[in-house]
Amino acid sequence: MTEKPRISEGASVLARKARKRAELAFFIPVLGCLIFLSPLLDALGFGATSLARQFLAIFFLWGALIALAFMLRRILSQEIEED
Amino acid sequence: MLGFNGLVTICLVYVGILFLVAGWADRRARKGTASFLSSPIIYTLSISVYCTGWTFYGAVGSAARNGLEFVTIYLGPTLVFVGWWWLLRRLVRIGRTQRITSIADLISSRYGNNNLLAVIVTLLCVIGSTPYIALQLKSLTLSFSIFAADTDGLSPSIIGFWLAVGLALFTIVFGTRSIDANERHHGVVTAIALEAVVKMAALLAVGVFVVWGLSDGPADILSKAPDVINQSDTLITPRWVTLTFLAATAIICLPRMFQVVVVENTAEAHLATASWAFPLYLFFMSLFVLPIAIGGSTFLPASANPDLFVVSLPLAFDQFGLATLAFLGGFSAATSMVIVAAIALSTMISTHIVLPLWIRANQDRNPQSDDVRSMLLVARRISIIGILALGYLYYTLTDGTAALASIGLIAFLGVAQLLPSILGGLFWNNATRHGAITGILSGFAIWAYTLFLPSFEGRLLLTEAVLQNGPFRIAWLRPEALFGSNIEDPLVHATLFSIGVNALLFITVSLLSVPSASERLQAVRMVSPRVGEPRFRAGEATTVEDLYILAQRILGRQEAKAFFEQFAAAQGRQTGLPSPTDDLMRSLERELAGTVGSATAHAMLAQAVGSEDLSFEDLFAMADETAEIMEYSQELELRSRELADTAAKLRLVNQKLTDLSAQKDAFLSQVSHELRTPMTSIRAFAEILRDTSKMKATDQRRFASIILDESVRLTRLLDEILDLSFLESGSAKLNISKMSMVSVVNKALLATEALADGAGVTILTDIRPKTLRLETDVDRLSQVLINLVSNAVKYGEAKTPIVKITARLKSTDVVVSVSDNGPGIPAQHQHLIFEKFARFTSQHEKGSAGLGLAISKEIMRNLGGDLRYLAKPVGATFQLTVPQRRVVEQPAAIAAQ
Repeated sequence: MTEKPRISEGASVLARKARKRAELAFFIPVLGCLIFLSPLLDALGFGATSLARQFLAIFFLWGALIALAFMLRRILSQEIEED
Repeated sequence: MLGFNGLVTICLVYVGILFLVAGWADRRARKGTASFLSSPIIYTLSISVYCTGWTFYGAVGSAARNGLEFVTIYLGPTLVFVGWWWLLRRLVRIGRTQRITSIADLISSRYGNNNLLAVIVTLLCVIGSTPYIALQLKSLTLSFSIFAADTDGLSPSIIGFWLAVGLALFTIVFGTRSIDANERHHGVVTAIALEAVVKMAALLAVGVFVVWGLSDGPADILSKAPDVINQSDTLITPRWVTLTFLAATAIICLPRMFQVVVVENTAEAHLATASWAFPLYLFFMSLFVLPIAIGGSTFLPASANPDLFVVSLPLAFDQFGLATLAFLGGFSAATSMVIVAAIALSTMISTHIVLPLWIRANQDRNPQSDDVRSMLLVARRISIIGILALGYLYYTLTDGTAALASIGLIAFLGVAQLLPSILGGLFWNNATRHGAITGILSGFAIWAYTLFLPSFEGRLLLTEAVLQNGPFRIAWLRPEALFGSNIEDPLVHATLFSIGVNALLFITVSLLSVPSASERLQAVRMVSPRVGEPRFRAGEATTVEDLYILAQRILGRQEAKAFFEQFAAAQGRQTGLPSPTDDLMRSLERELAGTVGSATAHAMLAQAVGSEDLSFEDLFAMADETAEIMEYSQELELRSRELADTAAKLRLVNQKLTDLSAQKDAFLSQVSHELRTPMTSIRAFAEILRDTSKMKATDQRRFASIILDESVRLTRLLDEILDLSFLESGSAKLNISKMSMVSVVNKALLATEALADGAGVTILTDIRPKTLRLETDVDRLSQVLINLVSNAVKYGEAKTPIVKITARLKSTDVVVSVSDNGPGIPAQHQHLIFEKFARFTSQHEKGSAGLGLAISKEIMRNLGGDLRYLAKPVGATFQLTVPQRRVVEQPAAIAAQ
């Protein structure tokens, strides 16, 4: 009987997951634009609060965005081409 | 406090250290022993060239004047970098695969390698960067002025001039060591990375000093903000959004940012690291900006320039070491910007402007490579001097009065005019060169009119009156209130109109114009860029049996079997199929490509392994191959049809030749037979006359008469054959003359009168019009009519035989019919009527040779007409057609005249 060497199963599932990870990369800048370019912060009352609170809020959100980008880099490590 | 000379000495020592670092890095890079030079950290730090003298000094000034607005300059790049996967990664890939050397190169390359576009972009970048260079000169001049105690004798413009000279020398030595525009500047990048560390360390140190040295921590310093910092009720304003947009744009469009982010990138992974590391760098660079602004506004006199708080605060509290570090931080920020910007701009100028001009000037001779090299080096060095000179000119023209931040924003909006063309080029296949040129030029013109020229406050081109009332007092053309718009902020106003019109015209003109072939090709490459040759990897969703079946279908059974057996043997397998290794996949793709083309082979394997690795470029390549195959196939089909047609013609010709040969044989046979019969008769009776001595006189006369008759018949036959031969060869001479049709018919009737009377045949004529005349060989035409009438009389066997002759004029032809009321010609013989020696039973009996109709047919052909037999139920009807006026063909030479 002929041996039937099989290429590993589930490649399409892996490809789909990779696509989802890549689409996640789109989510972070959209989230950033929503936070920093929409009237969201003003609607939440940050416009009327003190400069110190504004400062803390913006830097906190900014830091969170950087943390998300850091996590994304780790998530996308397989997709990133090592040259 | 340090003296001016002391400060200059510190700067020179610092520059010397940078030189040493750059030289060391270059040497290590050449030896290939410095892998850290290509590390993501060095790459990230080099991107910090974004933080110039503006961000070092101007951000604090901006915070002191406008509160948190300064954050936008950092948030814009942050949003671009956290979204690196979608934009920056594409830029970097294109930069590496297309060997892009500058932003002008990118745009011109995308739009069909159009050099005009490259020149426009280069000039725009130079003009757009000029305020930025001036900004660096201003920040350095201010810091020198405030730091050095003994600069009273030196005006700011003198200091600015010498700073410009020093920066030009510095950049020439640093940035023009190599002429390969695509080569990474390891030394420069390493030096800039060092400067990035210095400026961040300086800003953090001053921040720590202000927060914990001058205050009791963050809460304390921030609590002082309401007293000294302006704050509006709304955080996210149109100006906030505009500034963030411009800062984000600057990361892509500024020539120096493109240089460090795209051209100096050595690996995609570095960009991935920078996606979080660079925003983190910006985070720390801006973390103490507001506290320093609050500290400066609180502890320094109201007259203190907020742009210089970073230096003046330590100086005010006698922290000379910290102040020196802060000065070096600002010096680093300014010099790194100038170095990289000058390298990028000089590369663009030398490549896209000087080199094409030089090639045109030297096209008559064959330049040596050294000529080009030295020319490029000189061009870059002169360009650097020119760039610094323009910056200095802007600085002196604006009199150094504008705030640092406002100068930087003017530059940002200038280069932002490239954004629609870049984004459109990367994501829109239908973007065209015409659209890009129109968009850029229109946006640039509006930028210059609404922001750049007004920044000179009436000292350049636009007077104060124009700024106040508009050109020719047309209010709706006021530079800062176009179309009567009521936008208070000039920056928001200029951004809205310039970018809006730019994008609108770019899209509209692109839709209205047609991209060239090279543009379409580049669009495919850049809209769907691919790095390297990833191809396929084993281990995906298929079996080697599927590949074997695929190979069988494409290569053929035997070839596929041999291919897989060879691989199985190489893998040590005596039976069965080989393992689906990467090597197998690559080789199989090559084998398939030999049959179906590389793109189709790639697509087939992509489908087979389910990798979905089909790019737009693949599809285009497949389409090209398919088109080629279709074209080839159509050509083959055409050739095949042509061959078939030719073969059919050859068969026809062959058949004709065969028929002619058979006819010739038959003709010769018939001629022989026809000649032999009378000859035999003549010979026999001549022998009888010769051998019979006692013969009756009556017999002798009868035999002699037979011999005579046969001789006459023989002569007539030979005459007919000869006549037919002449007519067939077309060499029969025609005697054209004019005669009425009635006369022609009468001539024929006269010749056959005796025959008709003898047979009791009534001949009727009907010629209309009676006056019908024709111009032809009347004798020949009469010969045909005589033949037809005599045939009708001889063979029209009826009880009351009637022969009818009609003649009519149809258009330019005369149509004559000769019909009888006899039995006609049997259908089975009708196709033989005009054949030579074609005789039917009764004809033979009546002594016909069977050449009459053949001769008649040939006569009519020679007269330019035709003779046909019309099959009718009763009798036989022959119809001849002859042109009313015979046109004699002219010889070719005469016709040509």
